[in-house]
Amino acid sequence: MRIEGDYMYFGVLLSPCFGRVEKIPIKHSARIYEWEPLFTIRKEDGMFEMVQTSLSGKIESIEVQEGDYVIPGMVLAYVKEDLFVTGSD
Amino acid sequence: MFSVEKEKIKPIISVAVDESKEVFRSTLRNLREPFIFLKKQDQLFAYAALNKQLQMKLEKEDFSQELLNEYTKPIDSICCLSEHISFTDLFQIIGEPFAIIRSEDGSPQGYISREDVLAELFKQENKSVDLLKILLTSIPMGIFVLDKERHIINCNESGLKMIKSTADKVLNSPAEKIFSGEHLNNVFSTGKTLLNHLEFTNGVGVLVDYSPIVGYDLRVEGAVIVVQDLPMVEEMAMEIEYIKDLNKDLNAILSSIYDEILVVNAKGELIRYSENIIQDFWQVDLQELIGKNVLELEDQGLFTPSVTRLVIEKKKKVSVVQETKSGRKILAVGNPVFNEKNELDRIIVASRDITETTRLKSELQEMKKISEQYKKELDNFKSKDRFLKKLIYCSPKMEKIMNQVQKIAEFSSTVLLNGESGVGKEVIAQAIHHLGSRSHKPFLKLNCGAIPENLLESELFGYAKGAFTGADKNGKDGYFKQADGGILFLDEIGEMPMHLQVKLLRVLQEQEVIPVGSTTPIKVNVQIVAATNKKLSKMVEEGTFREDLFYRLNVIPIQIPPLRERTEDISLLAFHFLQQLNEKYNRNYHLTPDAVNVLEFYSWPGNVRELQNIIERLVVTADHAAIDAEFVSQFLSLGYENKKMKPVITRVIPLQEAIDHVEEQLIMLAMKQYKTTTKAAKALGISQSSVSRKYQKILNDKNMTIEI
Ligand SMILES: Nc1ncnc2c1ncn2[C@@H]1O[C@H](COP(=O)(O)OP(=O)(O)O)[C@@H](O)[C@H]1O
Ligand SMILES: [Mg+2]
Repeated sequence: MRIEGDYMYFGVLLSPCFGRVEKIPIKHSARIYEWEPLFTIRKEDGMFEMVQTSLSGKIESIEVQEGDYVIPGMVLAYVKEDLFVTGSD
Repeated sequence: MFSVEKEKIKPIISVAVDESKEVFRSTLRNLREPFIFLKKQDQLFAYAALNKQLQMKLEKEDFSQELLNEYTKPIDSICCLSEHISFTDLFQIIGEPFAIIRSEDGSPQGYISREDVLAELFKQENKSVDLLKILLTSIPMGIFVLDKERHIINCNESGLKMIKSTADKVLNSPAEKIFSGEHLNNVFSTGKTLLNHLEFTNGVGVLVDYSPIVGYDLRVEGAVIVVQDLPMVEEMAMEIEYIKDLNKDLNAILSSIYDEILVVNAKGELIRYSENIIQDFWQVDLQELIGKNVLELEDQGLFTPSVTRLVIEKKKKVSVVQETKSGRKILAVGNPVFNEKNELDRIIVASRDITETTRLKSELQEMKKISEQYKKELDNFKSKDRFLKKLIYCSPKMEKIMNQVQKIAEFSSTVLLNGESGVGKEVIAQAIHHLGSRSHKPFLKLNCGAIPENLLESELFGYAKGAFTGADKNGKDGYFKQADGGILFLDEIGEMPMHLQVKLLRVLQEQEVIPVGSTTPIKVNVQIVAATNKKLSKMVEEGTFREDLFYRLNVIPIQIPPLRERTEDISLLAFHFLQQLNEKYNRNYHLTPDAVNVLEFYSWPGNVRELQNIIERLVVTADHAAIDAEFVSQFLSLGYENKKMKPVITRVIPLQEAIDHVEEQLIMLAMKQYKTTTKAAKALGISQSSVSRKYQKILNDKNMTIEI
């Protein structure tokens, strides 16, 4: 069993709905920015749900694979957040 | 080893069993010894102790062999010793009343009583023979002897070794300190022997027997504790302790990472849970759930979704964030554990309350925003500070103006700056911009007197597409539009042509502009700061400036006094400009005190701008680092008003005007130099009252208040 001791310092990216992971355009250790589309989930009604986040930082790990069935609250990825706000103002 | 004294060896009086009654009787009668020995085929085989009781019986019953036989004991148990007794022999003698001493050829020589051997032993004390000690040390068990008070009064080395202690720590200390007080109580109160108690003393596992020492009156007078060590038990115990410790450590480690850990089998039944649990999460006592299926809880709607179910379905690690009824966010990570056959064996669900983390995170974000805000404000403050450092003054008049500027800056009111050329109107306008809320928005300056009249309109209001030939075909934003949100500084407002004054008035009133060639107005939000060296009120009277525009602009009028009216600023400004040039050219010019006097005495018609130029010329042409009065006076226009110099008139003007002019200058000079009207009157050779009257009139004309 691998204990991810410091996952608590990460931000979590959660699934907002029931469905199947259609597309994961990001890779492990990729840098993500706020409101970038990260996952596409095909819902049971056939509609697509785009998963975005207010977090920006580095993808620490991706917890699902394309084709995985997900439910609301399921962790899709852990994100190591940037220490400084990148958003533009 | 010690020898027995010859006299202690008693003779063996024996009778053969087949002897007649008479022989027995006579032998017994003559016997002075406490024992009678019996022989069979010339061999000693038994003995009898002749105590009073036996003797009387024998007398009474007229001696019978049978009676004697009842009291005889076999001789086998009696030990045979040589004359030299060793310590081990002592142990043989202890159980029996006497020992037989054999001579060198092996034949019995006599016997010695136990008392005598012991007495002999005590006599030998100088050889430091401690029987008890020898006894104790030779036993391969730990022995502790306790007195009535349950203090340990003696013990052996093996005992000390087993409990890992030393004699000085153990002796005379209460036995309870080492052994079970409860068992000791038991032994002392009941007189019973307690065997085989597993005990831990000093971290060592030992097997302990408690045995009372019972006195003649059957009272317990002490106890003997016999200790056996159990290397195995000890090892096991140590291991158990170690595992306990390890367990504790692991628990501590895990609970610092996770708030709760559950172990569930492949069916979803709860097997184990950690010491710490997330109280809020389970509405039931986890102890009750042991052996129950957690999937059922999900079915009961106790919580959703179950990580366990997801792990069973997916057979891989799953993480889920769940929210409790009270709104806490729980991150649960389910890890599958597989057996050798690669079948799902266990699921370890580690959960953590991330509510705090989430809260801290958003707090952190908030803090970041705030600190960025602070940083901005600090930068702002710094730039304001930098700007204010460039604005030099110390006169009360300027101080008053700057106070006013600080206040105005917070609002967006229209400001009208009035003052001679070079007094710093533009600097003040910039100060309003810098110090105010519009400091991050544009500050645009338009010199109304410098732009050709036909272009002024399009510059100000912009123009629409194809408004006129030669114009940019896409149209152009005017100053108003460009300065949106900021400040538009209209310099030399008095030079603005009348027809544009109307349009400007419209903008100020409507807050919108209509570009040239367009009919659609554009909303603008611009603060207007206008400046002029003319007396606008006079121009209104003369009809060259629109009255309505004047009132529109004159919301906050600021009159900036000429430099000669704030002489305190002169030296400060002079030093400031000199310093700037010194830095720029890496020089070390300085003004002598009399040079400063000259500068202060000069009337500065060109105000600060003129002072700035003069200083530059001084620096450029000076030969010495010290710039003195004489050198300075060469540069001041019209020359320095030398005492001997007469006023020079270079063109024809009405006489009265020239007289008024000279008079005004004289009064001002005298007042400046002498400060009081009395002294000035003396210097001018006129009455104090006429100086006072004339001075007041000059000030009134200049629209100034008297500060005398
Ligand atoms: N209080 C002051 N401190 C420093 N420099 C000043 C001050 N007042 C005016 N100046 C300088 O004098 C020159 C003339 O000022 P300016 O604002 O253009 O005068 P105005 O607009 O009234 O003709 C500028 O170079 C300005 O920097
Ligand atoms: Mg100017």
